[in-house]
Amino acid sequence: MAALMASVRDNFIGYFRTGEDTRIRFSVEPTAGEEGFQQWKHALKAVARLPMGIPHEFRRKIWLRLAEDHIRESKLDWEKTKRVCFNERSNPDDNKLGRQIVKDLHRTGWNGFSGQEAEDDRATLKRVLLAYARFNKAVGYCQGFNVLAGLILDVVERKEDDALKIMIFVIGHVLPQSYFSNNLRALSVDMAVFRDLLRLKLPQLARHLDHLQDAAKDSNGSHYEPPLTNVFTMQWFLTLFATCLQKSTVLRVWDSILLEGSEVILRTALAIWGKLSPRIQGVDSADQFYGTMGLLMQEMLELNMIDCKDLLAEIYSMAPFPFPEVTELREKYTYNITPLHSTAKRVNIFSDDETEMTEDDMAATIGCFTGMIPPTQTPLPRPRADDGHILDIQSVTPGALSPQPDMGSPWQQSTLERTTMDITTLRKQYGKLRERQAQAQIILAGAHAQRKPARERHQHQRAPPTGTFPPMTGAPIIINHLYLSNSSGGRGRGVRSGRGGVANPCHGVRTMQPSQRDRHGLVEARNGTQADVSTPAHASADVPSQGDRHGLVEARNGTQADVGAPAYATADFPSQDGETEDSVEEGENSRRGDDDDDNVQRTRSATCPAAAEPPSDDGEATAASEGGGGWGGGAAAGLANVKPRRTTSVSICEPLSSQRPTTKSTHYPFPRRHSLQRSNVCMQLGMYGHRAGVVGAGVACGGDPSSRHVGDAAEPGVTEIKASHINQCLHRQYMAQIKVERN
Amino acid sequence: MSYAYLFKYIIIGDTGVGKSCLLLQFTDKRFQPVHDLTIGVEFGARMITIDGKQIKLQIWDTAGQESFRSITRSYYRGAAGALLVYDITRRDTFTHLTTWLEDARQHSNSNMVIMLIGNKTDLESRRDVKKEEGEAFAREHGLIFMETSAKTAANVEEAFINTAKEIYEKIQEGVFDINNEANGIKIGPQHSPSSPHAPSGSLGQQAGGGCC
Repeated sequence: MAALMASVRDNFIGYFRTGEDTRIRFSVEPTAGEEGFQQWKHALKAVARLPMGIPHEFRRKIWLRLAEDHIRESKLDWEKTKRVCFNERSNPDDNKLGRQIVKDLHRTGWNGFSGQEAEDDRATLKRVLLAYARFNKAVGYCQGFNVLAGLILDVVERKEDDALKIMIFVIGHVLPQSYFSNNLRALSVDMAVFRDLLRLKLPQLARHLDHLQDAAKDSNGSHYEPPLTNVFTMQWFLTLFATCLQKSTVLRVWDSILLEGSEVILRTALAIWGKLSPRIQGVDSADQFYGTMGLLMQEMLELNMIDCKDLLAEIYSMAPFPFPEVTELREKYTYNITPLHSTAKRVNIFSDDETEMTEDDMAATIGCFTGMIPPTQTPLPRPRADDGHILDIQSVTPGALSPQPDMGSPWQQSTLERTTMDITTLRKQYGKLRERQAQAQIILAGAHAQRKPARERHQHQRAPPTGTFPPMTGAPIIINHLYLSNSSGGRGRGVRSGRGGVANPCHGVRTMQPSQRDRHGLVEARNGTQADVSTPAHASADVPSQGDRHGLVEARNGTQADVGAPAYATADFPSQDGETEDSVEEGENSRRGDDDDDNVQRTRSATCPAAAEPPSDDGEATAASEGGGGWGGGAAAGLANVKPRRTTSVSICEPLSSQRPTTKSTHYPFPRRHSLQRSNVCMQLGMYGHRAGVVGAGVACGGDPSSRHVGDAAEPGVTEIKASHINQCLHRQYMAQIKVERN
Repeated sequence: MSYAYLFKYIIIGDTGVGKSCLLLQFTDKRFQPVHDLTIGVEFGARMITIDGKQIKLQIWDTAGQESFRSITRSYYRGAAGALLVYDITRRDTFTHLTTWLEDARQHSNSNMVIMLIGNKTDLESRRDVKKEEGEAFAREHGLIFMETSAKTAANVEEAFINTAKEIYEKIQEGVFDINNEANGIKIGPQHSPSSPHAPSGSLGQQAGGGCC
């Protein structure tokens, strides 16, 4: 205690002068209670930034105290945890884990675990690593843990359960989730975040590095040289600098990390690159860069090239705590969210990001895209509702708009080629995606069921133009597309409503079966407004997992729908996965419905409750012809339920056509039909239409192709959403996705 | 340091098969019985001479653990050669070759020269994978094959250099487009085949350890 105070006295003068709070009370042990702990931590944060930092003799206690607080907060029964984790008996998983751990024990050269004499230390290390693996089964053991545990054991003087506590605290609490699991997802995110921070804080260096990397582009303009900083930051982040800085410096950095959080990792990396910058700016090729870095790394480790105090001073002074941009950037790269208006960054994510998209990420990302409209560079006219309200998807799904990467066609070409090689991966991802959507559907169906009575009432009475639909009350709901993507299972649903509308993810009960894994962009506009479809549920061909999205658009009481999202899939590709039975069945219903309005109605009700209204006076039946399902085996059906009631300019649907819709001859608003037909990837993935038939969502527009066209239905003044824009946009996004995946 | 060409290599294979030791033996001519774990990706470089031309090998050494795969994959692209390493004393490292090979083929350029290496021949007594098996695998998949020992340095030079020769031949045959750096080949900044610094003999070496 006295030493700590002395240390504080010795080093604190400068701090006092800065006018910081001088009434901080220092102690090695916090006083009782949460407030006492926070005070204590606050004081330690102040000590840690002093030139000499936290005296080494207190480090162990302090780290331990921090870890214990976390363990207390997570309500972990420590005695029990300890018993389980340090159980001498072998667990079933131990063998495999143990083998890997043992293999790495002697390769933990950092602080004396590798020598002959260190046999005991290695045994300790092994027990701690195994204990952590048992504690956190999801992660198990990841190379790099050995370095972390080695350092921790060193600090806690080889006390195993203390080391475990700190491991749990560091990995489970301090570092972002998935730092060591899920293909090191969070690590990849941080590497990308770091590159952005570098651009922000060391723009000159960042430009130079970008320039070196740009010099290494292939003829298609895509990088084959991974971002230059990655090799280094990867290792620094995984070992929290234990392998790159001198030990005394490492410990000080760890103090800060434990006290201030994981952003210190990014700060430290920035500070290091700042120090290296002058030497790096002199190199003029990527090759030279790596050579120079090899030398610099050696100097850093052996020659104390980086002064500890300078480094720490830089870490603390570079930005206020918390680092203003870090949270946002981490979210951005975790969810691939692009803040509106930041086009340049978007390009970057897709072209440089080394991150492997996991299935979840991919699904989430695709989900995000559902509500996307073309980029702001070519601003779409904003559709206006009759009452003058702007129907802008931004107002409903903020963040759903995503500037697209600027990718030329050569790039797309090359990506296409590579795509074909990725079938296995994609298939896996797609499988998983569909599984999740299946779950999603159940949830939504449940939600719909609750609303159904109200809807059914409505079916028997026309709502007046100003009529209120029971479920449609209140102000427009802000829909978090992430939520839709990730948790509700409404993944991929771009949902919006007109004025007074409520996000309405309803599409059919029956959709639960075949179409449940499909995506639907459901747009509903009511009360005299018109729907503009910005949910490009769409499907461009080479975009396998999007192949069965559906844009469902409905306009009621009024005017018309203009469909920007006719989710297409061509009918040319019979489904291959045998999952279309329901689709077929629905399709048959539809066909039977040709002569039987009731039947039609039944089908429609069953398949698309949101659209379930009696056929309108002028005989327009909103087709429920499950696209491909109706004609033999589930060719695709993207669809747009365009259902004008009073507009006659659209011959929406011939009464549920008994003819097979001939997709080939239809007017096809998407410009990429060729690639649709050619996409082997999609074929192999069985994505065309399989289930696309989408019962439910499926209102294929009978035999009249023109009815699908967006603008055709429009009355003067009605804005046309260019489906092709949406399509292109999605296509690019997806291609970019694949690229990220590959990288 | 002038060179006629720069070839990029990547070393892949299960964890603990001796990838980093092979690299160290090749670049530094030494063996570390206890080599620190490779976390993520490391790199090394060395000059060799083929056909009187200075060739710089830039070698990416990757972590073998599964969880690192997605990150290390980004280094496959732009590699002209790959050393696919297994441990002759551990059959599982041999059986995993298919996965590695698939991965490599999938993420690299199609002309990449792949050398299959059965490492640790110094541990003959513990051999678990016969040389013939390695040969058969290589034949089947169109790879070059060698057995090496990073410890005794047996065949280590040859492994790296034969790979380079193969790449060089492909350049001569026009298989590799040397103007496309995505193939992992770069023409040197000052292409000077008759450099006075070139070591005598057909094969020489300079520098290493990532410092050239």
